[in-house]
Amino acid sequence: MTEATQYQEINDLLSKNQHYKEGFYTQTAVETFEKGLNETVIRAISAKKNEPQWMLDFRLKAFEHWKKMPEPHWAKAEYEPLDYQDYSYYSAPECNQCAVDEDEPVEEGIDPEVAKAFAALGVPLDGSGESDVAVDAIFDSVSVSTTKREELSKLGIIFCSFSEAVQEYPELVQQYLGTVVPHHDNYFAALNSAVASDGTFVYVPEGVRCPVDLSTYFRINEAKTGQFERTILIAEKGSYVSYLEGCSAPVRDTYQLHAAVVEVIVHERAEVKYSTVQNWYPGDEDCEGGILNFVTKRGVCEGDHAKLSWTQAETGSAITWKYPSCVLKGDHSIGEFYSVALTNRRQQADTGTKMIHLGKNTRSTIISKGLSAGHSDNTYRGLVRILPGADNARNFTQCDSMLIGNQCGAHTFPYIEVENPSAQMEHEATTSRIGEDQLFYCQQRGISEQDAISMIVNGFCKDVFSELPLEFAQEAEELLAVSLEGSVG
Amino acid sequence: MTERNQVTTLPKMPPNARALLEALEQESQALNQRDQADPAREKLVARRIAAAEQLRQTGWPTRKHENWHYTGLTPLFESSFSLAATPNNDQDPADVAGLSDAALTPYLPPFETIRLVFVDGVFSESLSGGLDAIDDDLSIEMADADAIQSMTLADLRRYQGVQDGTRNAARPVAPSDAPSVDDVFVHINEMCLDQGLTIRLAPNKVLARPLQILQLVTQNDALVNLRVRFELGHHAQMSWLNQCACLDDAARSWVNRLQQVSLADGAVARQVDWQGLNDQSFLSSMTYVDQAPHSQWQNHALALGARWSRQQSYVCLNGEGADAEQNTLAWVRGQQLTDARTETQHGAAHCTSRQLHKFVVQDQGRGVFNGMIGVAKAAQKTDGQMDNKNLLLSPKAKMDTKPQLEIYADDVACSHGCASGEIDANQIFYAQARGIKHDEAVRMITQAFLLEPLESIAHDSLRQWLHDDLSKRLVALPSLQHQRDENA
Amino acid sequence: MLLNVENLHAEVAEGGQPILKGLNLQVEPGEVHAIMGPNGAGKSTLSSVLAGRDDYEVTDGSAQFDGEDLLEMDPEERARKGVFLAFQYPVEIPGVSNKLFMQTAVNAVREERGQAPLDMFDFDEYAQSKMSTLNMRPDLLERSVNVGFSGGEKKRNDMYQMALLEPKLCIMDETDSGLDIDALKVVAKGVNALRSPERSFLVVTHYQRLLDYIKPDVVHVLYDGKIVKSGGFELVEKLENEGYDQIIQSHETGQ
Repeated sequence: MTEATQYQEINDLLSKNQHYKEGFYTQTAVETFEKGLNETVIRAISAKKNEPQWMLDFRLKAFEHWKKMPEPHWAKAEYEPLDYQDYSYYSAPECNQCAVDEDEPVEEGIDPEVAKAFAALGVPLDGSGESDVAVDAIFDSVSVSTTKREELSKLGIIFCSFSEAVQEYPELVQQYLGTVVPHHDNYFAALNSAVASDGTFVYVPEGVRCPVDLSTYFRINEAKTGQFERTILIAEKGSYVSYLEGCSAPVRDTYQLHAAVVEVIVHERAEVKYSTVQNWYPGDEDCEGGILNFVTKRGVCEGDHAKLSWTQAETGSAITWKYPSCVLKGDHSIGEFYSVALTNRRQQADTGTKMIHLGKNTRSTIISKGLSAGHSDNTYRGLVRILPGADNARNFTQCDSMLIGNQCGAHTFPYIEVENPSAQMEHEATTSRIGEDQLFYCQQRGISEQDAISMIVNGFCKDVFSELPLEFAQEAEELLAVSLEGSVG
Repeated sequence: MTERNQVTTLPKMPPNARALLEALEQESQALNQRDQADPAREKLVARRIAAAEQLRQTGWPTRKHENWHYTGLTPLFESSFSLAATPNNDQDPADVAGLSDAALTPYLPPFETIRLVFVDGVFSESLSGGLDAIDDDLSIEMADADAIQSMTLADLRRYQGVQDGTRNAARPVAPSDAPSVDDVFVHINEMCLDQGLTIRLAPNKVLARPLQILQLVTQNDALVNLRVRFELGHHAQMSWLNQCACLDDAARSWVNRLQQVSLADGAVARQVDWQGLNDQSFLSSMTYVDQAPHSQWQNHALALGARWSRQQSYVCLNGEGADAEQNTLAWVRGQQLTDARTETQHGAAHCTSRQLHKFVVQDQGRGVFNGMIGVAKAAQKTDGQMDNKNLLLSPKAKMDTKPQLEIYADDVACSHGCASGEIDANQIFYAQARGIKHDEAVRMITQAFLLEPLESIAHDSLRQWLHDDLSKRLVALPSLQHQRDENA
Repeated sequence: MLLNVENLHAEVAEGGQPILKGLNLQVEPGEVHAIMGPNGAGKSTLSSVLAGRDDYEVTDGSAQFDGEDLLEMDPEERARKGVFLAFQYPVEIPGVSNKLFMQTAVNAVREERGQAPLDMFDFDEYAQSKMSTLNMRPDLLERSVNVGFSGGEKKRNDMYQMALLEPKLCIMDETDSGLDIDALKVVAKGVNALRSPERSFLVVTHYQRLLDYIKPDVVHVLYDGKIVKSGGFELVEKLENEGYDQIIQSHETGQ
């Protein structure tokens, strides 16, 4: 992006209102399960999706395990223990349901109200040639539309909803499901495995470079429902794919649960770029409502020279608990994590990454930028682990925090475990604020305080935004400015 | 005396862990039995009972506890310990142990000190020296432990920044009334408390001679339970050298030490904490430092020995303009586990803290560094910096590091840095190209790396003496060439 | 009159220590004034107060700029009206390019003057035109504001910003401190290039060496928060030969 458009944007942003603009609610006929969680509900979800026995078995196994696990509270975020019986575990627009039942092309079966909602969110569902992204749109528990599937299938790329993949590519799903994030991995991953709603399935065959960005847009609409998407992304040898996800939810005065699991498998010499702009409803000033974003994302670089890169801009959610990780198995494989996490009001974010070095000459880079404003708490928590076999492994970590105002907190909790003497790791962390001298310097040049803050914050995040695909970088910057409004003054 | 049935049942633990805990309880009960009839010791008995009860509630920490993840206690459980035997009546412990002045030689620096020597925790007048330099301004008491302040739970929580007000006022963390498993060695120290050492320096007094506190351990399977308190009046200045050493290389001991340092306005205290226990022994050490405005605390910890050691220091910068420097030099060899931990709580504005912790780990050694800088809301203009650098010299060496920041004030400059790796091959080659042998180059580079934390010791001959002592020890660095071949 | 400072009193905002104690200063358009004085006289405080830094509090007196009350304005308002401060230590802003920074600043000033904002292309052209006058390295525009700049480059960048913003009053706050002779010449050359009948300068400095290159019209000696002597360029030479002591002495005996 050129500097001039950046400037233009700052002005645009300042004229925007400061409310959560994605906070509307779509009124449409839906089928929503009764609140509650038990084996019958799990069997009903599975039946609704017409799943094969192995998938039901996977769910039940996970559920049995989940029941025995304690809810984790080690993150630097406080929440009352959740009442899991007070959520509904399945909700879908009815019209869409019939489309699936009658095996019609999904695009034609979109509920017009749902289509309107996505249009308002700026998500293109028409799949027209104009757009250079392919989109999977997920509304509560189901995928309502996946665009550009046919173009992609010519290249052998599978891009569909997880539910469809279970029906149409059962061998592939069975081969990979739970291999990166096992059903017993952690409390929320176990819950997800039991009640998984829809998600996205991506398969890129050997040697194929996916020509467009693949993207999923998650929308939680119904009150008191949880979204538990399951996403699997497989990049075969020598392939490349860039995948983006975005999310939002209506304004609600109670917590809503989002417990997703993402598994990424990167084979030899393949490269996956996984970008997220997370803008779930953050709750209001008094800490009422908001999304609890408890997510397990993990990728494994199976083959030599594989590369997995996570980029995230986290501005939403009441509580974020998220550590996109890389298991660097293949020799010379590369893991990257670029993150901007902004918290304002009473948001609490505990996010970071894990880089597990197993293979020789593996490299990882972590760049994390945390911004805290309002009464929020923003924590970086990350693990770098270099195992004995990881000769010449390299890690570089940079965690910078910026505090805006004096009611917020910024924390850095890195864990560094080195078991190989030839490994080299470097970790740097700083905490700073927008300096009085920087503000005065800007003001002396005629730039207003608000403009100066936007400018300095964007400068602070630049290393990460430059990793995002263009449209996403723009969106992330806008979100940042909107989320920051009212934080200084 | 306590009735067994009134006491909390112990949490689940392995049999040897339970055996050790129960043995310690019995030691405590024996002390109580002895002191039962002494009205002057009534309070102390009550404190021991309370601590024993807290220990019963928490049991031992396991690796599941966040602060013990990298520091397993298994080696400690494999041993049995009883409190070190104390000599009868007024016998000098040196006579009992058959020690002469010659035993001191390796520990005597080449300058005048006020030397207090303890044998298995008991003061030995015959081995001590320079006591004539003690004047009215310096008081040294070998008091009944009763005279020493107890560490209450509230005290501990305060040092650990868990109190109201130091955390984010928007969402205060309630001070916990429950004993925490992290304080296990504090509870043991309190439970087995018998004697204590208190050192007070009057306001404005600048003590020219350093104080030397030499702890010699001779007995086998002995727990040496130490409690030391330093109180410096306003603008008083002193430095001291702690030394902890075993005289018998084969005797296994466990030194459990709790130190409290209280610094009034403008007081300056400098500590060198030297630890060279033998390869069988254990060291658990807690140091709590309370700093008033413009006081300065400087600590140089040298961890050179012990099978297993864990040295934790809590520094509370409670007054404006206070300054703390904490450095560690750790050389970890053989089967050693060396754990250095700092928690630095900035509670007031304009305070500075500086830390440099360096580890050299070789053989199957395990090094652990855990550092936390906390900045309270009121602590604006905090300047906190923490660095941890590690050199791993063998394929089986392991280093776990957790440098943490927890910040609630906006106008601060805090940073931490951490790096682990092996010696830069270019440096070795450069030295070799100038005619220096490979092993000599490695030794030279390692030594330079390890000595850096000592550079800020202001006392020239003390720094030089520590340098020389270390250089001699480092000659024992293994042939690294050999290890490299193995690696290749 | 462009700048009219009367009986200005100011103290440190935190602590209340008085620094300026009744300072008077009149600057006409196109004039170059030098403010000299020993360390601690209040030179930097004067620059800061005129630019609006809130480290200092004005307790008495007035400052009129172009007929308006300067002290009532926010720092950015002063900048938009044409007050430019060349910093003793130009500030670093990581990640923000010089170009974006200056385009934002230039357009803020243009808005104040009722001119349309410059788009990217117009700004580029404008920036290039000013660049040649100052021998700026073109890549300086693409780099983050002052990050990784040498001391000389930072000062050169400040001069460049001055050229872009076309201010009415340039306050040079000990711009010459820490500069080698070449960098000093760059600053002097910049100032001389920007001298015009509409633009005034206030050159605050401890030493005469910068003034040898910028021949000021009026020279003031600041001591203990007041101007104790004013004169022409010959005063600079007198100070160089005799030091501040004599002037201070005659001022103190005169009181």
